[in-house]
Amino acid sequence: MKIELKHINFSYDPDITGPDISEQDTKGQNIKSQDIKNLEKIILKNINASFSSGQFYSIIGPNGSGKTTLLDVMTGYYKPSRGSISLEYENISQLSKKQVAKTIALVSQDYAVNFPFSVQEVVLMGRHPHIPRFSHPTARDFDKTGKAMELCRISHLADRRITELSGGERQRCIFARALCQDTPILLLDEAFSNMDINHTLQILRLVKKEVMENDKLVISVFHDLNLAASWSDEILMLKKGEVKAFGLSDTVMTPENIQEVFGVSSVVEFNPHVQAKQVYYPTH
Amino acid sequence: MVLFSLFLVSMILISLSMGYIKIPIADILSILSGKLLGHTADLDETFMAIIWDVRLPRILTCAIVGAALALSGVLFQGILLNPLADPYTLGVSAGAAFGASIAILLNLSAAFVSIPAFAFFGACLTLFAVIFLSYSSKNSIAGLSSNNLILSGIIVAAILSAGISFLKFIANEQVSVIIFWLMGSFASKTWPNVFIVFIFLIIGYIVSLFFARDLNLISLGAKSATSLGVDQKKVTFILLITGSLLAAACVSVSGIIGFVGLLVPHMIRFITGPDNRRLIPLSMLAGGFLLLFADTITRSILPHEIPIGVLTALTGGPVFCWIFKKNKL
Repeated sequence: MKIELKHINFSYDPDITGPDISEQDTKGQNIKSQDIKNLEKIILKNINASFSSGQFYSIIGPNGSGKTTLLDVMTGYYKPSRGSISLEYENISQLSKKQVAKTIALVSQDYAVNFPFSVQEVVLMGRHPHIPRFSHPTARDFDKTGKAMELCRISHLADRRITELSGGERQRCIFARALCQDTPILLLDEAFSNMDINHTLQILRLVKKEVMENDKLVISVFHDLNLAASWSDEILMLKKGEVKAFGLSDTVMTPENIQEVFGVSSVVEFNPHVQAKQVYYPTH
Repeated sequence: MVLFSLFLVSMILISLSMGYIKIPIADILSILSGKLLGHTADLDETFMAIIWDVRLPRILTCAIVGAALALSGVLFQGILLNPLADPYTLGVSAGAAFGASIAILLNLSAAFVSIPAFAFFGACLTLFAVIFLSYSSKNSIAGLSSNNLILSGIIVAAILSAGISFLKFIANEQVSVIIFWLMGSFASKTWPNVFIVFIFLIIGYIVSLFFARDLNLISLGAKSATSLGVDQKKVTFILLITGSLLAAACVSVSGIIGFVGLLVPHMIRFITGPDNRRLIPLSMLAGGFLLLFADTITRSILPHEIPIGVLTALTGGPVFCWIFKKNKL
């Protein structure tokens, strides 16, 4: 499985598509003044990236750099203003929502559930794209739901109402839901923001195992640079909707890149305990 | 489910027997079976007329309207993700009331269909106005969002309410007709009324069951629902239209009956939980039961028939307060 982004531009305003950068390559710089005025409103600018299965990718960048929007464009929630996304060489806009849902699962940041569904019901919703209309979930669906809950250690919460749970517990439920959606691609949008370190590591190990053993493709948005560096194979750095760096974690994680993207000075060293580069921020 | 159906059927039978002239249930059963099977020779003519031509249409209309209002309430609360939503959130009731007021004012009530027809037309116009207002092509992502819809509904309803006040103001002696129509009544309903609301209810029920699971997923939020393969915008739009048309049909037949659409879904949610596949059928049965219960009281127990809309609010309100306090949502 492979997901490929070509010249993706995105703006909330449908009238602004941004300069067609693919044309510029051949015709040279011919950006109109209108485009420059609207540049601020363009959330994603000419994103080109290719992700393939069996790899753990991270997306890092400051607030408002377009990380979440990039994931939303990949799931088809937002239509890119320009450019195309292909999923195993098929354009994603040609696929039905259900087909996409069978391929890509998303753990989004809004993990609020508006009605008091039980935890098991919420996790079972992950099977929705696999269950035909009007039919009941099969034993296999319940089996997958049970396994996902076990892996995320929420089996003991199965009958609790999701509205009564803490933020971290709810995030684990949503993660379990994405897991039993049983897709080759898993997108995580700060899926660990409310979990304690124990559960964060446990879920990360689970994700890594899925990548290594089941050849899954995982793209995760992180705020913690060190978690990103220690767990992912490749890192994509976003700044103001543009890709500043994309490549192997060790090559992307440099003080220069971090300075440019986040505006903080840092020391980056290889840490033998995590077998990866780690970032330290001097306090003076 | 079976229990609730039994409740509703027995309520219909009890309601048939009650009234100015008491009719034993055994007679009712023989009249009903006689009518349905086609041999009516040996039955009492008066009783038959009372049951078949007077009481049964009214009772069936009432039960169907109750079911449709409850269904519409479930849909609106599910789509708008707001526990305060009810069938009239989008201003459908105000539109219908405005249409009906105009019909009354222009004295079109001579022809039997005109008031309901005007009410329905007004309700539909309002619905399109609200959807047009809340949908913006500039920002198609935010379009049809819960907040937009609720706000547009409130704005349109406020304008129409002012319009209704103005109509009342210039209506002189007809103002009482308008007020009575607005308070709702099931008096003198006929078989055509039954068929009209029944058709709306059946179509509405099929559509809602078709999208029941999608409606469950919408409560996870638009983003999650989309990532699970639900076409959130399409489902929202279809169910909005369905819920509003149900409400419009109800209002045009029986006037504005509040509370059923707001309360019944909440009550049933305490029993079934929030899963719409169970919530929808049970809410419909319970809505039909409760509205029929209220209508039977006002028709045959109280010395004067008071408007059903008043009675539902007066009885339903305290009951809901009690349940709400006990369960604390």
